Amino acid sequence: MSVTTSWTDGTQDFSGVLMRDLLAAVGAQGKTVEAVTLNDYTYTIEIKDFSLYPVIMATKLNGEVLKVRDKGPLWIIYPLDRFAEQQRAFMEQRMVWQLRQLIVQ
Amino acid sequence: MKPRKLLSVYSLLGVIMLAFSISMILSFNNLRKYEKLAQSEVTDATWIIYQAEIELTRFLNSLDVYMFGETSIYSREDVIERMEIFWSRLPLFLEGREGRKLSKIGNTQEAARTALDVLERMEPRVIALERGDTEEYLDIRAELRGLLEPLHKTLMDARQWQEGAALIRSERLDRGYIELLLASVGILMSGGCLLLLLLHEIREARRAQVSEKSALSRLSDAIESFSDGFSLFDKDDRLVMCNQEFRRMHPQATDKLVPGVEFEKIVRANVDKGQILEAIGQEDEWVKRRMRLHRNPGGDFEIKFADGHWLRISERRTGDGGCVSIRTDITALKQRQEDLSSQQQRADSANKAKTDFLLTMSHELRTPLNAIMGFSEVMKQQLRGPLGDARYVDYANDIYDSANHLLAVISNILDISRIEAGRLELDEQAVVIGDEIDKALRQLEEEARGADVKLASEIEPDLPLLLGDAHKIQQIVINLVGNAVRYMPDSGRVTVRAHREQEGGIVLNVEDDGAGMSAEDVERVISPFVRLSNPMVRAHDGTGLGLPLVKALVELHGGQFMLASEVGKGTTGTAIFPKSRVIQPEATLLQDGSA
Repeated sequence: MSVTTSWTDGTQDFSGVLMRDLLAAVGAQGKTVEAVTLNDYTYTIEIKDFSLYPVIMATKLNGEVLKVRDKGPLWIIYPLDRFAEQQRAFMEQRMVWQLRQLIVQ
Repeated sequence: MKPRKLLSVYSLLGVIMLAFSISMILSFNNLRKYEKLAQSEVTDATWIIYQAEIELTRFLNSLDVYMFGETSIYSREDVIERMEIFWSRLPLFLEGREGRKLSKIGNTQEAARTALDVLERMEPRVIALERGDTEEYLDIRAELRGLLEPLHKTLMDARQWQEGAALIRSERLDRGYIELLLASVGILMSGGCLLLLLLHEIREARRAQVSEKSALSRLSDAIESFSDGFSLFDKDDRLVMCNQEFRRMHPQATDKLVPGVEFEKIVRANVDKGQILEAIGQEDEWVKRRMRLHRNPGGDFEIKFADGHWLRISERRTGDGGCVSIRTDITALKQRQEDLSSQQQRADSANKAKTDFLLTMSHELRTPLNAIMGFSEVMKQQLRGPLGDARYVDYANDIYDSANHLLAVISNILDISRIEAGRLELDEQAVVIGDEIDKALRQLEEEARGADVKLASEIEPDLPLLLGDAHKIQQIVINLVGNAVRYMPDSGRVTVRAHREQEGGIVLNVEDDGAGMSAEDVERVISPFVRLSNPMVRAHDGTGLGLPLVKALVELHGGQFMLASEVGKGTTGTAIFPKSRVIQPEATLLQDGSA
């Protein structure tokens, strides 16, 4: 998925698994997921988002496996380029990087 | 204020208001932008450096703990992870939105690049670092520790820069607020002007309305007070207004007389209710005719209504294509006209009956009179032998004279009657007036000598010929002179004159120096069947019809007859024949022809 974020210059090509597929695969039941980062920072995302938008859990950036220094190993990526300018800021907040853990609630 | 001028003032104010509104919206937008900018800049730019600083500290911390603390707390992997996390913060200095911002602040990006260089170099050494290798640890730590100072300095720079930016922003905000304030004041002022103008307009309009109303009410009062019926129709022929009198004149159509009703409907209502006499039986044609008259109003016309009322209707087109209709009740006038004409008719028919009677009677009387005169003449001349006693001859003479007089009376009556009946016609020819006067005087010579009256005539030489009836002109002279002789008290003189008057007519004049009459008597003797009963006058054998006949005969010639008299001085009868009756002398004609 090609995304232009405000943290990088130009379009970046992320790849990974669709969050909705991931949650379905593990049989997750709930309304929200709590994303926990390597720094133990947490952010709560509504699961509804994943059915509305093709949100992915990226593992690769431009064909290469995400390292921690690239804000890996896992990075929740929203299709930012689909949204209007005003919405992008809200969406970027949900794009949690250096993801360590997902807790379905 | 004139409407066009007013409109331009309104437009101007509108444009001003619009301009201020636009500037206000722009100011609002700018303010919002500045405020948003302020928020995001304050949060993000310094936050990135601050976090990098914290991550570096954590990394150093983990390295320290790894070297000297419990192994269970930080493993080698943990140290590497901390390094990676610190690493991951550095590209944010160089790329993206915040990178662009930080590029403006002092050596921020330089510091980040140095940090990345150091990390590149240290990475294998950190990965390879063994617990206990204190020398290597100290070396690595010193390299990494050296990054903290410039990072911290960058944070300070960023803070300072942000404060400056905040100052600029606050200036911009202030400017924005001032712009907003000015725009608001502008809108308020132009709006106020607009409002004042509108109020003024409303007041003017109300004043105009009031004055228009009072003018209208004055006008309608004036129209109401008309004694005539008044109605006004617009260009579509619909009733605009009518007064009470108009309603009173059309009692059968009152329910139709509301503003907006068409003229034709009012006419129809009257016709259908049989109000208009002459329309009965031909309603459609009458309405058509009436509408033609209404559309092309000419003169006035009169209509009789079933209740006996007569209306004179006068219609005029107005300037805007409408029509004003004024109706006058002329019933009383019509009544008087009818009365007068019936009186005249009665008088005329009475007069005609009298004339007819006289004409018939005169004929009936004349026939036996011929016998009386014929036989008395035979007797007085004793054509069939002597009458015996000489007195019979006198009697026969008297019979003849009386019959002769009676014949004259009857002839006069007949003439007057004929003139009145319009049956006497002139036997027109060129008359030599002098000759006719001579003939008349010759006839009266004997009678005048008997009464000791001298007859004289003064006839203007070269008197032109007169187009007239010779016999009747002679009769005029005989009647006038005969009267003068007969009413002469003792001896006297009668003069007949004929001359041209100034206007070109011919004047015939009979003057006597007899008893004369009062003005009252003069009036009476000219009327038929009147005789003077003057004690001064000896018994006469006049018919009393002489002068009226003279007057009638002169008038038959188109002339004028006047009688002037003074008691004790005498009487003058004057007949003036008009110029049209005078035949121009040949000499004059020749002269005219040769000229």
